[in-house]
Amino acid sequence: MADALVKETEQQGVVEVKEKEALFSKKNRKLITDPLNDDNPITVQVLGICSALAVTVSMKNALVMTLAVIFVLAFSNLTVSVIRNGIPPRIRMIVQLVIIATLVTIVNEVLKTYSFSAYKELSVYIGLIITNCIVMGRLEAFAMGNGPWKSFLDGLGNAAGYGIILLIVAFFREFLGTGKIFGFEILADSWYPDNGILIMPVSAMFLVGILVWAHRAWNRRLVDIS
Amino acid sequence: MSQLDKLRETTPYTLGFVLVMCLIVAGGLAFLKQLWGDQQKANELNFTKEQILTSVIDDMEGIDVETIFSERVTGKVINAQGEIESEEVTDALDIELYKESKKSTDKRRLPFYTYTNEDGEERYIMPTVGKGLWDQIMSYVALESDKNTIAGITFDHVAETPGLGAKIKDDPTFYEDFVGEQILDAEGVLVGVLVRKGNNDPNNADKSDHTIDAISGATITGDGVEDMLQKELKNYLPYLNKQTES
Repeated sequence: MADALVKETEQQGVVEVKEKEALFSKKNRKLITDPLNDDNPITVQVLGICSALAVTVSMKNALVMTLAVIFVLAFSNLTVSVIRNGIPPRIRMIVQLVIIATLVTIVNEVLKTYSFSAYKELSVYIGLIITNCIVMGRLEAFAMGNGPWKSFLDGLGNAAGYGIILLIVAFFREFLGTGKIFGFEILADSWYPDNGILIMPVSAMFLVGILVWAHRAWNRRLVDIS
Repeated sequence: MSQLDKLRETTPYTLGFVLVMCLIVAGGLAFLKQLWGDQQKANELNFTKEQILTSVIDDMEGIDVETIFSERVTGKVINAQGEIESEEVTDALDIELYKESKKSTDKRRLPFYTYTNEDGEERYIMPTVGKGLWDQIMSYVALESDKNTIAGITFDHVAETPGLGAKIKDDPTFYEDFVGEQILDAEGVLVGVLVRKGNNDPNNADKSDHTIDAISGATITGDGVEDMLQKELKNYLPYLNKQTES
């Protein structure tokens, strides 16, 4: 294998032996940290907004959604990357979709088997992952052109970047909407009645907007890029 | 263009790829279903039992669903003419409510549960299925031994909006309002429970008006609840009347 590689590079007239990259080299670590800040899927790329509106009414929903997306995105990135050279170009989107849908179905079945109450509450949202633009976006933009390990890290990073925003939005919506955090009462019902506008999905739109603004005010690099 | 790239463009390769992919995916998922299917069925059955018990027991904290259910609940299958079709509780639990609700009234098989509490009083529990805003809604209605007053009710839904329609299941101030309401009027005609806004009785102090306070922002779900109770309880009336007469 290594011989073949050297031979090929020699043929191209370039004499260099590819150095093996460390598993967590600086470049690879950037794959995880970039989506958390500079390249955040929600506040910078503005992807995955639909599910950010739907599931952020409580912290618990947002957390389960985050974990599910981390699983689906990391492993669909990995799978697609492994078979990327064999996927027929004409049907590549369909192939990606099948892989995503399979992983989502697995998540749903796992919940149904091992945590029925969570399944009852969340299966509607779990199905939404199939239509989450971030997943498809990462498969097309990254996994189709990079190796399995890098793709796996990219999946983890982007899903985590998505999850962080989800949890921030859910914190404000649950706390200001119902006075609870993770279902525990913080502000007593007797003097803090439910705040309807924060329970409704529209409030997530405002909150995401405010977050985009705050993110740019804090991270000036984003302003220069755009 | 390498050899593989050329090959990938060809139709036979594309078709072959699809075929193999489908086989792997379908095989894998079918295998998982086989592996977990029994556990999932058991979970669903347990959930049904829990719902039945929740409609008659106020505090479910620390209750062993399986034992209490087998000790205190009997079930039977009846039809809309009021005849008993089966006296086995397992037959009643086996009925798929949604499929059953699609049939015409005279062909329907209706599960009917009886719960006996510590004082020996009976509660009659009937499942109902209806339509909410997005998908089905279900409930278990428990009647007191007078077969008229609601002793308790539990709701479930498939996809009502969280924070709005989903409140039928999550918000105690909604479903606890049903307790004490009567489903029949003074002449014994079925009225059900009306879910209305602006009935000047937000605390539901008046239990004789067949009306409870609706959830703001969930009008269609509320109408669905009202509709479901009227339509579904009607099927049970012949049986309930027979019981009262005998």
